[in-house]
Amino acid sequence: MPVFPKLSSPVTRLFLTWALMSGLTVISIISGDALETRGHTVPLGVLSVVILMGATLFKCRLLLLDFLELRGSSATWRRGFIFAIFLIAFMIVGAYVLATGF
Amino acid sequence: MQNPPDKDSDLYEIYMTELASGQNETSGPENKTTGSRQNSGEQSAWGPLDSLPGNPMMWVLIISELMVFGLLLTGYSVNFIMEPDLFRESQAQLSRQIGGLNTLVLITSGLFAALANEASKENRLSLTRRYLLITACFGILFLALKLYEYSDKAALGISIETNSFYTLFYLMTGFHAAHVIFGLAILGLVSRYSSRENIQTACSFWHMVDLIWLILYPVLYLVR
Repeated sequence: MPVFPKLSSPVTRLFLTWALMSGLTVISIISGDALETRGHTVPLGVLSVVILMGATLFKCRLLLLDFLELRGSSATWRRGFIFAIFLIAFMIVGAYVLATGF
Repeated sequence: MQNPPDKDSDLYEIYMTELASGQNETSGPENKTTGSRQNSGEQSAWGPLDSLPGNPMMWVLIISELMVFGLLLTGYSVNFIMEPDLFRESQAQLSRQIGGLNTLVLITSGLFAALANEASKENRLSLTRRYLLITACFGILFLALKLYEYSDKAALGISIETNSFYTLFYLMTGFHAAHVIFGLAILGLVSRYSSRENIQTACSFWHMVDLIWLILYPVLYLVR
């Protein structure tokens, strides 16, 4: 029996979700300057932090809908979970702005 | 009518799953894909939680964990506002590449957990177990990288008591790593007792662990 089953629709969507999440992680690594082109302690700036947390929010949304299968659940649960992640992302950006300014 | 197989054999679980799916065919195809109880027309036992896939108790745990990590991140944010320079300098000693690599490792493990869940819907037990094994292997790789990171910090004399950044760092990543270990135990357990609901529940737990790391990585390693 093959390890990878026939690429029926749900399996294809899982692979696409994985590819998107991996791509967004690479964007996070670049936006967060994980390769340290600007120095170890140089502040990222608000724009980079917003991109970083935006990518995180989108990754979490993909995971919730496709991996955790909330796509088949009620809209209230979907919105509730995504809103909870949004609140965390918003709090991090807000704390960054308060700590460093724009 | 054919007699059911022995309760201790793997065939018994397959027999029971087929029996249940035969009964559910009359209640619509949506129940097959989501596994939710509400759609099947059964009496609701968990109220709104019935529309979530897997065991409702696992969702109670997932919501609780999100609240705990949400509070820890609130504490982190407050401390970051008070001491931004200390946090930047402390964060600079972390390996951002290892953190990023660990994120990719967990995302990939999440893919295989989701594939295991998909395979279990088609009662492909052997394939499901294979996917669960691959998921666990990526989980072990995550822990190995985390252990390397912790030992690297210990060699530099950095511990949970070094400063407020490292207290929160070790608290959050340590608590998360404990969940990964617990998740590995659950994956092992459902590989043996592989009913449809067990696999769905274990995979939900694993994705929750994955979800928390997706938030922890940018906050602890990158935002500065």
